[in-house]
Amino acid sequence: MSVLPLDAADDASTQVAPPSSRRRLLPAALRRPGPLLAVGWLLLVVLLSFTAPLWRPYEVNDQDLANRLSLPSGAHWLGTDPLGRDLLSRIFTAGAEPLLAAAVTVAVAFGIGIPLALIAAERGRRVEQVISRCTEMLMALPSTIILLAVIGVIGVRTYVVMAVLGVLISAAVYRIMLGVAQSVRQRLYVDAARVNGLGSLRVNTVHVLPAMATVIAVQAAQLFGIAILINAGLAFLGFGPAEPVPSWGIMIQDASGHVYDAPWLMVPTGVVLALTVVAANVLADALAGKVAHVTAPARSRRPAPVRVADAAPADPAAVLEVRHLTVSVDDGPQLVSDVSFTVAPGRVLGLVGESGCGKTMTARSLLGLLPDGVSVSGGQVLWQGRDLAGLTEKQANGVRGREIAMISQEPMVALDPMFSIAYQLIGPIRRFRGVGRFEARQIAAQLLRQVGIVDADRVLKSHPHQLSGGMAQRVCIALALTGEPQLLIADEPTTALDVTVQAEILSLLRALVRDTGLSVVVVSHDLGVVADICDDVVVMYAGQVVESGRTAPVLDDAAHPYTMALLGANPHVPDGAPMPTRLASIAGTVPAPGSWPTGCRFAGRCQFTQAECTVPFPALPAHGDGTVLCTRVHEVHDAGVSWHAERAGAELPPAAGARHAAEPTPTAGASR
Amino acid sequence: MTVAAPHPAASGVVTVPALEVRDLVVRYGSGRKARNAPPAVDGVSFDIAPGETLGLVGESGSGKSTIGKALLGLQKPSAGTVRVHGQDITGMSLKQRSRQVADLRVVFQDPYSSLNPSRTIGQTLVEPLRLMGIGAAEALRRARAGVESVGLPGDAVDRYPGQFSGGQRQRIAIARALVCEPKVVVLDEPVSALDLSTQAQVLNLLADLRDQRGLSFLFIAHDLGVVRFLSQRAVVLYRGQVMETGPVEAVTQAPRHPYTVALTSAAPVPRPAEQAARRAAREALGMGTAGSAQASATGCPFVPRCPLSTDVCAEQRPPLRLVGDTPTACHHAERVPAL
Amino acid sequence: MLGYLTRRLALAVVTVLVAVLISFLLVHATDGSPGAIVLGPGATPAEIAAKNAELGWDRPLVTQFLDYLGHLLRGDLGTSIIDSRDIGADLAARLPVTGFIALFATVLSGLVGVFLGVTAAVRGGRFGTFITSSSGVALSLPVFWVGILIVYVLSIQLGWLPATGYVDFADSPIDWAKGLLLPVLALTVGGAAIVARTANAGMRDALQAEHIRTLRAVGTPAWRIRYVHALRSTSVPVISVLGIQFIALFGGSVIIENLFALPGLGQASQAAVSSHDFPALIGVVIVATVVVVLTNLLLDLVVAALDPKVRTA
Repeated sequence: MSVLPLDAADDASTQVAPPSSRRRLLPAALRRPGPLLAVGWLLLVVLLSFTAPLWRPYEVNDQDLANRLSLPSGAHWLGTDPLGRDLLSRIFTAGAEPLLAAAVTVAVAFGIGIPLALIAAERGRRVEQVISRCTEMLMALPSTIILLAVIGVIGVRTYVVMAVLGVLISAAVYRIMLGVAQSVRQRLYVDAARVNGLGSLRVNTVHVLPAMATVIAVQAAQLFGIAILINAGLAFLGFGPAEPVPSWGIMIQDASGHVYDAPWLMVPTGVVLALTVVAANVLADALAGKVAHVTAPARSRRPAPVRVADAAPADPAAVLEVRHLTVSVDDGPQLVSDVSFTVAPGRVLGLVGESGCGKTMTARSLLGLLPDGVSVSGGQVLWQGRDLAGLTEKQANGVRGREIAMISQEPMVALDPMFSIAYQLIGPIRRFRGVGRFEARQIAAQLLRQVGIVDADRVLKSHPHQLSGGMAQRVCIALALTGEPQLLIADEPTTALDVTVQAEILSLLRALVRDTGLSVVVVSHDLGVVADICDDVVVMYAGQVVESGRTAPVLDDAAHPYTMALLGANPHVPDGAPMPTRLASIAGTVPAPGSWPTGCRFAGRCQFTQAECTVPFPALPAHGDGTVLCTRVHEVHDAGVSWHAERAGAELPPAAGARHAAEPTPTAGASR
Repeated sequence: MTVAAPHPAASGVVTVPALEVRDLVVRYGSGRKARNAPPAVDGVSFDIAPGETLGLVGESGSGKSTIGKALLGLQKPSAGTVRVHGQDITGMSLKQRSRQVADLRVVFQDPYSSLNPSRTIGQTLVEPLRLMGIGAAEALRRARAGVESVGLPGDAVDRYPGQFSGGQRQRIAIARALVCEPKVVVLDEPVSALDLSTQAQVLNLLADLRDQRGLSFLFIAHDLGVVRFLSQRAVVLYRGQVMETGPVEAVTQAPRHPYTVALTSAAPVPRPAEQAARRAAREALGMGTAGSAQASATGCPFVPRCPLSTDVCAEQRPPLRLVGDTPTACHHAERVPAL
Repeated sequence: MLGYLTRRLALAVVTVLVAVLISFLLVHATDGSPGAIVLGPGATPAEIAAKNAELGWDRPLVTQFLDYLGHLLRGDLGTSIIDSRDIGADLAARLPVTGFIALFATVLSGLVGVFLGVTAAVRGGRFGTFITSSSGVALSLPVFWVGILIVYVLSIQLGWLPATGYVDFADSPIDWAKGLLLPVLALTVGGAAIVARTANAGMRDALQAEHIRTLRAVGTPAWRIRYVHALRSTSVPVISVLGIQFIALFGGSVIIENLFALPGLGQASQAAVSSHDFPALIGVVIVATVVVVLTNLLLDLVVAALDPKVRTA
C-alpha cells in the first residue's frame, strides 16, 4: 500500500544503490565527453579572462592601422577590429565582466530564492501563499524593460543592474525551489529528524538542502548562461562598458555594422560568447541527467524468441497455455525462467509470490506489454491456436482488449487524467463493437452499471481525479470489458485499495467470472486474495514456478517450503485459533535476477536445505495435476515436517555477539 | 466523549499511563472551508499502559496517521491533550519535546524515504543522541550497539541506506527510534511496505524488543491481522472517530460495531474453505459500498454503509458506551452479533 | 473555477499597480533631475530648479503620484521631457510592430518546436538525440548574433530578403511582411529550440505514464496513443512555455528592434533610457507590464480549458 513519491529532487530513493557510495571529485553525471568538454571550456574561459592582462599579446587599445579588419593571421590569431585592435586580446579582456556579472545575478537570485523557498516549505500554507503571491507579482513584471528603466535612472552600473536582475529572477528560482523543497520535506527522514528535535536551521542545512543540491546546480548553470546573454545584450545596446573598454556586446554591435565588408568580425566574439552559454547549458543538462535519457533507445526491439520444438497440440481444455516461458532483459539476465501453466475457461488462476519473483513480468508477457528492453526469450504463449509470444506488435494489438484484457495495480493512475471517463470508454467501444457515438455511450453506461456503479451517468461525465480508488478500479474493469474479452489479466488489482474496497472488487470479479464465463489471471502477493478468488494457483519464486495446482490443496497442504513459509508468515490465523507468539519468517531476501543459484533458487533461505538442493532437479507432480519444485519434498512435506517460526527473542542478539539475522546466509555451493 | 478504555491490566493498581490522549481533534487547513469540513481526527481518546501495545486500526482517511503526527508534534492538534507519563506535551514545540521528553519516538512506514540517503547509518543514529547532549564517542558507541540490537552487524554504521534492503532499512529505522531509549514508540504502518516474509521478521523483532525493554507501542496499521499479532488492545477508527475499542481478541474475534464487522470480514485469510465461508458471511451482511455517499455531520459517520442504520443514527452521533467488555460507538451494537 | 479567475484578475490589477509604483519611485525617489537633462550641462542650478518646478517635480512625491495615477486612469501617459510628444500616442503607434513580431515568432516557434520535439520523442534514437542536443545549442545562442548570421546568409549571401527597413502595413502589406520576416526568423531559432525541448520532455514523460499501458492493453492504435493522448498532456507545458516565450520576446524585442531598425516599443525604451526621458520610461514599463499581465491571464484561461484538474477544481 505504499506509493513511493517520485519527485523532482535527486537520489532516486526507490532504487537500491550499488555499494559504492564513496564521494568522487566529479559527479558521475559529468564523467562523459560532452559535459567534460563543457566544464573544460568554462574553466578555460574563466582562466583566460581573469588572467588576460598577464598574457594578452597586445594592449586592448593598441591600433594596428595597417591591419584593420584582418582575418586571423600569425600576428593576430583571431584577426582585428575596424580600428586594427587585436580581437584575441580584446575578447578575453572583455570576458571578466560578464562572467563576474553573471555570477552576481546567480548569487543574488539564489540568495533570495532559496531561503524564501525553504521558509515557505517549512512554515506551511499561509506563509507560502503570501510569499508565492508576491513572487508571482515579481514574475509578472517585464524584467528586461525594468532593467532598462533602472539603467535609465542610475546609469550604466553593471553589477548593480545585474544584481537587480538577480532580484527579478529570484521569483522564478523560488518557484522551482519551492516545489523541490516541499517534496523533500515530505520525506520521512525530515519528519524523523524533527521528531528528534533537530532545529529548523539544521533540518534545512543537513537534510533538506543537500537533497536539493542537484536541482540547485542545474538551475544555477542555466541561470549563469542566461545572465551572460543578458549582460552581453545590454552591452550590445550600448548599456555596457563605454568605448574603448572592450565588451562582447559592443564587439558584436561593431560586427553588425561590418557584416557586408568584414563578415569574419562576428565570428570570434560570437563563438566565444555562444560556446560559453552552450557550455553552461550542457553542464546543466548533464547534471539533470537529461542526456542519459536521450541516449536510451526509445524503440523497443523485439528479438525473435528462441523456439522450443512444438510437440503436443494445445491442451484442448485450456484457453491459455503458457509453455516454458522465459523472459529476459535484452542482453541481460533472465527475469522469468521456464514458466508453464494453463488457464481453463471460466476459471481464475493466481500468480502469487513476493516482489521480484517475476509474476508481473509473466502476466505482462501474455499481452506483449513488457517494458522497453525486456522481451520473451523463449517458450510459448498459446492462445486459440496462436503463439502470442511470436506476434508482431501490430498483431498483438489486435488481440489486446478484444481477446485478452488487463487491469493494473494503481487504478488512480491507470486512466488518462486529461480525458473524461466517457471519452475513455467510448473510444474502445466504438472500435471493438462498430457502433455509433450515441450507442457507444449507452453501452458505456451499461458497462459501468455492470461493474456496480450506480450513478453511471455522473461517473461518465467525471474525470479520473474525481473518482475514489475503488471507483477508478471499477471503471478500469469496465474499460477492460469493452472488447468482451475471454481472458482478463488482473495485475495486483486490489493492492492499492482499502481492505473493504478490496472485498468489493473481488466480489465483482467473481460475479463477472460467474456471469460471463470470463477466465482470469490474477497476480497477487496476498495468499488471502488467492484463497478468495482463485481456482488454481501458481506460486513463483525468483522467476520460477515452485508450486502449482488447485488452490485448496496447495494452500491447505503446501508442499514447497517457500509456500509453507509464506503461509506461516501470514498473521491471519484461523478464527478461534490463538495468535502465535512468533510468525514464521524467511531469513534474507529474494536473490536478484542474474545472481540466481543453480539448483534450488530458494536453497539459500530454506530451513531444509541440504547438499542435494544445490544441483538442478526437475519439478515433481503434486496436488493432482500440479507440480512442486523441491527435490526433498518426500523428506519434508510427505514426512509432515513444516516450516517453523523462530522462538521468541530469537530476533535479539545473544548478549554480546553480533547476529546477522537479515544477512543472506551463504550456503556452500549455492551460488554460481 | 472522555470514555477512555477501562484498562484490564490495571486491576486495582493505579498506574500513570505511558501515553494518555484525551479528546484529540485535528483539523487541516484554515479558513471557512476547513471549518465546515469534518475534522481529520474528531474527539479521540485512549491510554497506553507501560509495556502495552495499542493498535490503531483504520482504512485510508480514518485519521490514524494524523493521530500519530499529532502525538509527535508534527501536526498541531486543534483541541485535546496528549500526556506522556503524566506530562502534558500537547503544545510543546519539537525542540522542547526533545529536551524534556525524550520518551516519544517514531518508526515510519516507508523504509525508503525514512532514512536520508546521503548520510551514513551512523550519522543518522548519532543525530538524536548528540541533541540529547551525549558526547560524540559515546553516541557512536550507542549507535553501534543500537544497530546490533536490531540484528544488523555493527559495521553497518559506516554504510549508506542505499546498501540495505527494505527490511534491513526498517530495522535501522527501529534502531534510530530506540537508540534514545524512549518509553513510547509510535509505529506508523511499520510493516505495510514490506513483503510478507520480511514483514514477519520485523513484527517478530518488534515483539522481542517490546518484551525485552518493556516498551509501549502505538501501532498504527490497516491490517487487523498484524494488529492482532502485536497488540494487546485495539482502537478502530472511521473518518476520524473511534468506532470501537477494547482487548484485541474481543475487537477482532467478536466485534461489536458494524464497521469493525465490515473490516474483519473483509480481510481475506489464506485458507480457501474458511475464506469461502467468510466471504459468504460478508456478502450476507449487506454492507454499503465504500465512499458511496457523504455522511451527515451530526450523526454516525458509518451511516451510508451500515446495514443496521436507522433515523437516530443519522441524527445523533452515538457516544462510546460499554457493550459487553468493549466500548463501542453504535446505537445498535446489541443487534450487531446477529450480523 | 470562477473564484480562481477572480483571484487571478485581482492579482493582475495589483501587479500593474505595483509596476506603476515601482517605476514611479525608481524615477522620482532617486535624485533624477529632469531639468538638468532638458537644459543640458550649461544650465545654472537656478535654471534647473525653475525647469523642475515647471515640470511639476518640486511637488511632494505623493501628490505627484496621485496626479500621475489620475492621468493614467484617463489613459494619459504624459508627455516626453525631451521633445514634448504625447507618450501614450507614441507607444500606441509602436505597440503593433513589437506585438506582431512577438506574435509571429511565438506562433512559428510553437509550430516548429512542437513538430521537432514530438517527432524526436516518438522516433527516438539518433534523430531524437540530434534534435535535443542541437536545440540545446540553439537556445544558447545570443539573439543579436543569430540575427547577424541570418542577415549574412539570407540577405547578403543569398539576397532573398532586405536586411533592414520597416515598411508600414498600410503602405505595402507585402513589404511589411518581408521586413518582419528576418527578425521573426532570428527570434524563432531560440524560441523553437525551447519549445522543442519542452515538447520533447513532455511527450517522453507522457508516453511513459502508467495510463499509456492501460491504453495499449485495450489495443488502442499507436497513432492515437501518441497524437491524441500523449500530445494532449504535453500541450499544457507547451502552452505555458509559449506564453513565457511571448512575454520574453515582447520584453526582449529591444535588441532585435535595434538590430533591424524597427520602430517598435523596444526602440522607444532604448531611446528613453539613453536620453533619460523619465516619463517615457515609466510609460514603457506600464505598457509592457499590461501586456505581460494580459498574456498571463490568457495563459491561465487556456491551461484551465486544457487541464481538467484545474477546470473542475
